[in-house]
Amino acid sequence: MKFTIIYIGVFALVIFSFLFILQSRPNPEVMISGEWAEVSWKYEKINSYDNLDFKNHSSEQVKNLVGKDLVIYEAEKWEFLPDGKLKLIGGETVRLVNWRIKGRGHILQIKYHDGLQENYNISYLKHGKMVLNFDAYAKLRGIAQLTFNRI
Amino acid sequence: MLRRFSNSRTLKDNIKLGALTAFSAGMVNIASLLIFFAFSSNVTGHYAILASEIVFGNYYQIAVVFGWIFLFFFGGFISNMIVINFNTKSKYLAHATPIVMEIICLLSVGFYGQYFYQETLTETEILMALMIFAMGLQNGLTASISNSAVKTTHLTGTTTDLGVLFAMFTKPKYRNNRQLRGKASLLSTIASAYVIGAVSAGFIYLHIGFKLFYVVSIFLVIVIFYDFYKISLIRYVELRRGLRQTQT
Repeated sequence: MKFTIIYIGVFALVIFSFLFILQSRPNPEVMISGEWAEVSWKYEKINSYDNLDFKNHSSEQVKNLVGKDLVIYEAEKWEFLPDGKLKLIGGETVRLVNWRIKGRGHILQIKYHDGLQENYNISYLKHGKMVLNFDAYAKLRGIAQLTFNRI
Repeated sequence: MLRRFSNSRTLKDNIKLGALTAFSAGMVNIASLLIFFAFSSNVTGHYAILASEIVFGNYYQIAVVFGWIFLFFFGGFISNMIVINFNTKSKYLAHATPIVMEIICLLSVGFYGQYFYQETLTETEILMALMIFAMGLQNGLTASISNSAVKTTHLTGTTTDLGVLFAMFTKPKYRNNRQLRGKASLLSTIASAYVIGAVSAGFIYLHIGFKLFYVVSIFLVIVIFYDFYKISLIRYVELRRGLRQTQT
């Protein structure tokens, strides 16, 4: 009987703590909502020693190199709407696509109307800053990093 | 597969159980990775992720990953509780119940995913939780009834043991040991079944989506009914024999 009470007590404590943390901390879907301005593009990792100088390229150069084939290429402002829509704003053009958060809240999935989807790893999302990483295959293989500041 | 317990199990029993359950575990794991971007049976990985989330101070993610690890533990706990408490009444029922629970969890994921899933993070985390709990139930059951010989979601241990065994097989005295050879074939079967399950599920998922969970459930139903059929057959033969004896 004593053991049963201890077991129930420990399980209840674990479940209560888990629910308490989940309730008290903002969900990544809430944290990402709102407007974000693109700050920089850079190569975080490069697969070859011969191309290490690419890490020193300017943001514009990296964007042109790795982002050209991506739909987000033209966007300078991203607005995450709570209904799962994402406005990609670049100059005069506005594209409306769908967004979802997957995994434990660490994957941003962007879906386009033609069925195409892109997945970005959310490596930082706090204090008005968001950092996304993704595998870059265009021209030079590596891991690209995209940084945003909340507007 | 499910009728016998611990040391009374044969190598053949363990290979059959290991192959079918590892196949389904591989399917579930790849499904969770493709759909939800998280592993459902890689608990070692979740421990590493938990540590990294603690380092970065991501409290929400800490809670989620901790919850998943706890559910895998709880699945193993429930499985073994059922086995040790009901084994004396009916071995088959005690061993089949956790598989039935696992099927219910996986069917729920498939059904919800097919008809209601809106791809919100909360839904993703709850469905992942169900899959991890199901894997905990399965791993707990197979380990419990096979005296830890069969662990179908634990490929780190399987791969380590295979490495150790293949090193031992370089010496003739170990190579000729029937027990060690049996262990190697069991572990190889589990690892291959897991990979085959994962690869085939990857292809099947692209065509049928969430209905994949119904396919996994079919394999688990085979595990349950294989022994049910055998038990019924044995009972039928015994009954016939008894009737014949009373007639003579």
